[in-house]
Amino acid sequence: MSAVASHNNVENEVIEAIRKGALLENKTISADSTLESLGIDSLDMTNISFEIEDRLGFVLNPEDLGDTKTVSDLTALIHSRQAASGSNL
Amino acid sequence: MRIAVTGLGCVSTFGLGVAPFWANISEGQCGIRPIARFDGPAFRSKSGAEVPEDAVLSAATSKLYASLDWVAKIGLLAADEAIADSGLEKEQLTSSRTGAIIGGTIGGLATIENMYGRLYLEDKKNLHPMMVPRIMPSGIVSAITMKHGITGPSFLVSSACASATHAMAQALLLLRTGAIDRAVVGGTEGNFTLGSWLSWEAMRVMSSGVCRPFSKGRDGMSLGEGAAALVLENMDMAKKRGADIKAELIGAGMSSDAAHITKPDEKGAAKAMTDALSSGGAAPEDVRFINAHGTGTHLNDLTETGAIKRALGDQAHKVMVSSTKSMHGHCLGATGAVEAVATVLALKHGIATPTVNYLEQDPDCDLDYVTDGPREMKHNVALSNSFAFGGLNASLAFKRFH
Repeated sequence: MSAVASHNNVENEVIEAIRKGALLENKTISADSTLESLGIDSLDMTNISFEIEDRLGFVLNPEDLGDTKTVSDLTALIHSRQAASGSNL
Repeated sequence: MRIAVTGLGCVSTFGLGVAPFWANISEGQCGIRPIARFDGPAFRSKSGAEVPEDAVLSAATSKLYASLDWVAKIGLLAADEAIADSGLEKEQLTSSRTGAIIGGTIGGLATIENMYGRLYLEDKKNLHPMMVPRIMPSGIVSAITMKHGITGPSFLVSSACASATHAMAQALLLLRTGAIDRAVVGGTEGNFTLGSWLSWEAMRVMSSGVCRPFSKGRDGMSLGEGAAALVLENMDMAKKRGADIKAELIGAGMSSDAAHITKPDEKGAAKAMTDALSSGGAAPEDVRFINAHGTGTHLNDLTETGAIKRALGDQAHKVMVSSTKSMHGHCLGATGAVEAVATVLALKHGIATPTVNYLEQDPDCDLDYVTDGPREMKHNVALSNSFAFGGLNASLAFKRFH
């Protein structure tokens, strides 16, 4: 899988995880969307972490999410976790 | 102090709202049908009074609704309707003198079964973060307070099949002491899951067909699911704001059999009815309608018949007795609220609701059951009975409002 395809794949999974975790079925969500603008609170973030774990197999704890402000921040975080674990999605 | 009923809400086998509920039960339409939610060809009981899933899901669309288990979704829909019906203003609702007191049993059964399936069948050890808030039985109470801004005493009451009736009795006591001015009360039950169904089957109390309260040939209860809510209010305040008062809640009686975990006891049930009347300043001769617990099991209907005789003495044969469970099923923790809505509307419209599915008289059940269709009811006081497994009894006395 190419790096771009892999990136898009992860980004799509992250967006779907946000959609499902934060119960935003009909909301437009892009890479630039901030979590704040989507109205995501700490409980939503816990639900999103669960969805990501279910889809991508990474456990995200609250302390991992410190500087995560946008959808692309979250995608980047997943990539860095993948790189650290040697996994290739 | 007098207490007014100023709002009603209901989610039942007849769909969303009090209007379809009353239209059906006042006409004697049975809402007990073959179960659609799961396939049970091997079950003894294949019919129940199921809430239409599509109607609920298309109405319960907000983020708050999406976060809730089914039991709280239907409970909140009923509460929303009752609150809207009451016409209460935002500042009254959000007052710390407004409470939410709801009856319920197990809580989010559907979530429990789904998550335990994931854990034990799929061996997935990461459970959903909303597992705890979705399954906690008091989740419905929190949902009502969060949506409507209610800040007064709010809690769940659990006493199996008497839960909602006990909840209303608690609200009545808080209103009478002056601790609150108004309360959203009721009950909710979302029990149509495979595990729950088979648990009830295991007890051998389910009918093989439909429940036939008080009838010869009855062979058990029909499970229902649903939710109902009422707004109770200090009568003076309700009058002052020009509320549409549906009826008056005049009394509540509560008792415990202290006897058997499943077998009902005549004395305990009678005591609840006697106390409901006496706490409302009413005498046996004032009562002419009882919405009975009337489950359709051999023992309940026999015991309740005896209890009515014990409580009302020589007046017992002058009372019209009905079981609306024959139409909306036994909604367990919610059933007292569903039946209270039926009783309030019976008084308001002057109609004794019928008992359907009746075949012929059981010589041991010899009261005046309303089995011949709806009847005119001119009298002013009615009882609504709930008798739970484990002998926890509660009865409410309502009065027509003039």
